[in-house]
Amino acid sequence: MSPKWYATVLLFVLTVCYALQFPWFEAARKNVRNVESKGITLPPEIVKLMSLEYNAISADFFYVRASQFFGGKVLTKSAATQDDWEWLYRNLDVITELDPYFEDPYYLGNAYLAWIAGMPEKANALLVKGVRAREWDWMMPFFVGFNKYYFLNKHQEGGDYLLIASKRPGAWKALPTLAARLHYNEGRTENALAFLITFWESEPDARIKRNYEVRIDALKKILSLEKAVSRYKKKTGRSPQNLKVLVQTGIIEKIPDDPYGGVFYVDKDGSIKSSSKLAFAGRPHGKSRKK
Amino acid sequence: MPLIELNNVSKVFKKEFSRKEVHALNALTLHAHEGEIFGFLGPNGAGKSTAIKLMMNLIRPSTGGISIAGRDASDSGVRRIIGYLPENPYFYDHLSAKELLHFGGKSCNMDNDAIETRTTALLHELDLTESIKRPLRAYSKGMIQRAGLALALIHDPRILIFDEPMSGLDPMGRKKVFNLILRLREEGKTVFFSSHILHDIERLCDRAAILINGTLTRLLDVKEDLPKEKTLEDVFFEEVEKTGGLRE
Amino acid sequence: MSGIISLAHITLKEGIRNRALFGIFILALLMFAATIALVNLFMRDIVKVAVDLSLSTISFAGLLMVVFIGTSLLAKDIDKRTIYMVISRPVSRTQYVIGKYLGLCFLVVVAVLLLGIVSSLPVYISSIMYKNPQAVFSWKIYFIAIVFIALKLMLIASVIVFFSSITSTSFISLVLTIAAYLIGSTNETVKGILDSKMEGVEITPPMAFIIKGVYYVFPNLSAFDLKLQAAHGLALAEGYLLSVPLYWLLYTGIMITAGSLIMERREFP
Repeated sequence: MSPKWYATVLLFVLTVCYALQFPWFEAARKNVRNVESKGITLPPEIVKLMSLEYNAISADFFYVRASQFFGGKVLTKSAATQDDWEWLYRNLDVITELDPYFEDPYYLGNAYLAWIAGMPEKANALLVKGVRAREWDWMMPFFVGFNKYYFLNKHQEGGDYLLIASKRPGAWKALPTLAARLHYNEGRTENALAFLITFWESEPDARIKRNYEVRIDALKKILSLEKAVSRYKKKTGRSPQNLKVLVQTGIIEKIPDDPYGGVFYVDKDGSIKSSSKLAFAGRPHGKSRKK
Repeated sequence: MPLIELNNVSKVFKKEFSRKEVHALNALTLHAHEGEIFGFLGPNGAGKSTAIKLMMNLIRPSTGGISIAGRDASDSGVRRIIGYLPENPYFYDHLSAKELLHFGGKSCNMDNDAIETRTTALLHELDLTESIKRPLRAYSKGMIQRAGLALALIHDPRILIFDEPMSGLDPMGRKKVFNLILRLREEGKTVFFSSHILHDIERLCDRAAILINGTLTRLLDVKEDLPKEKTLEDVFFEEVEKTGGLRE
Repeated sequence: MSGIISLAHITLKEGIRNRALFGIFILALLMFAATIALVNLFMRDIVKVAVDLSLSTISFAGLLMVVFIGTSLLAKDIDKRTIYMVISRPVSRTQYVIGKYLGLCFLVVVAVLLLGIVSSLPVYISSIMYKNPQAVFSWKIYFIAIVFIALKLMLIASVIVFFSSITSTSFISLVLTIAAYLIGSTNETVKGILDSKMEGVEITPPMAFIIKGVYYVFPNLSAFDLKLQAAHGLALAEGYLLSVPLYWLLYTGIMITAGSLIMERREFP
């Protein structure tokens, strides 16, 4: 019985065992593999990068590129074009495909796409991937819910997402109440302000925090004007023709400045709007706030 | 029973992707007995190294068989009693002589104390004690040869097989090896070595075989067969002429 | 047996004293230092980034080591004729193959252990730099990921052993191993595209056969990549921790056994 014989038999046995263990192996692999992607056709370069083991750091690399590019634009107040926003969305889409658990692209995407580019549906398209993958993270469904309510006027769906968020660990205690409010469409501006303050509180990036501060300032002023309009209505029984009337009748001292550089006015339906549409000049709005 | 037996051994080398065949050895039959010093001589390319590598199972015979101490040469265990020195020894660059000999001993199942003792003795005998810790790649040619000898001897083998042990040595080195072989004979070891320094073979060997173009042409008992006036050199050139010169 | 162990021992020594190893370690240290700097570019999920970079560094440095030093220890042994000093001992060809492979494995374990410990530093620093309540990180899974990297490297080492037994040139062995690594890193993804029947992607039957063949013949290296799990603290099923090492054992076993059989028949003129 030469050792060569033993080795040949061993080789045969090992090969058979190797073939037999595949069903178990493949089942285990399926369980562990990432949240299945939707099957978006990715550009070939991306598939190549995905294929080696370095897909996670590719995600990091793309993310840094995207945030530096847009950070730069915000700082220099130079205009971003529609193409730029599409590029950002595609990048963030790829990044979240490479690593759907990665937190930063969702934050970046929401901050820029929903608030500045006026592309809340695209922001939500990204965020829902985060809702699915980051099951422990309450902010993902929170952002989706807020965007649906605030930008897309879909209160019911917004409330539903807030409820999803409220069930996740560490969620803001007021969420169920807020969800209930959304279902009743009351005090829209107050709700919006409450949301914005939560965003501002939890945002570590100073550049994006400034964006929120500007918005909070604008909304606070709008809220004060809305309250002024209510007081006027109570007093006189009708809606004011314009804001100057409120100053003249002494209800407010002066018309506050719009931090976005526009001018506040009363709309035909009695709501407070601004000529700036709450965006800095030179930025495309896409779909702005709906009634 | 002879200690080393080559029976009707042939070796044919075939180059890859070519029809050309090289007949390195033809029907070689050769026996070496325990306790003798056996010399192997012949011109370059005669097949001496080939025969030695066959004994060491580095290559396999095309026909015929080789046995050592009654066991087939392909049995790796038989090398426990063989100490081998190749023509040009090559060692791992970064090992020291000490580590090399430790490996040599451990691979033959020696225990650490025995290795320690023999290492010290061998390195002293071969003048390598100074360089014991230095890496082998820093060794000169002569030092490498001596380290190779130490490796061949560390496990106290019954049989020594040396392929051109004097090659590249200076006169002091050659004297050392010469005396070493004599000492081994006194200890009752069997030494089989190839050389083309006829003078050494004449002085050291009990028996010698002349190999030309892969064929054994003459096997002689050095003390008895050499007539008073002739030297081994004369005999050798006779044989060469008989075979009609050397092949290319 | 002591032949195998002592051969593994000197193989390990020879590997550690290789100058290239020093260079690879310096590279790894630089990459770890860069990790600490780079995490500042990110907002919230910086632990994930630190984990990505750290594990990638270990994997990359380990790969360089196995491929270059591995081929040097194996194929070059035959090239430079240093194999004679081993196979002239009472060591069979099979024992030679096993001993060399074991030595290479020891080298991998030592290197990954060292790199693993050093890599914890950037990860730890990033976790205290920014307290992210949403970050879910687990040291246990991080170290399991490192173990899997070691397994992957030892599998690649067994492939090197196999190739070195067939070819005579260390360069060919090197090229074949790199090819096997690239194929092994991508074959699961490609088979996944085949299996998922993505829209707009057409695969002919002969192509499908080749893809499946490549998947089964070449090692599936993506199974050993646990970077995402480590970065986000995703739990691993127990079955996974058994199935993959079994796969590793069988594949490595096949490589070593086949390599031994081939070496038994080889001649060293």
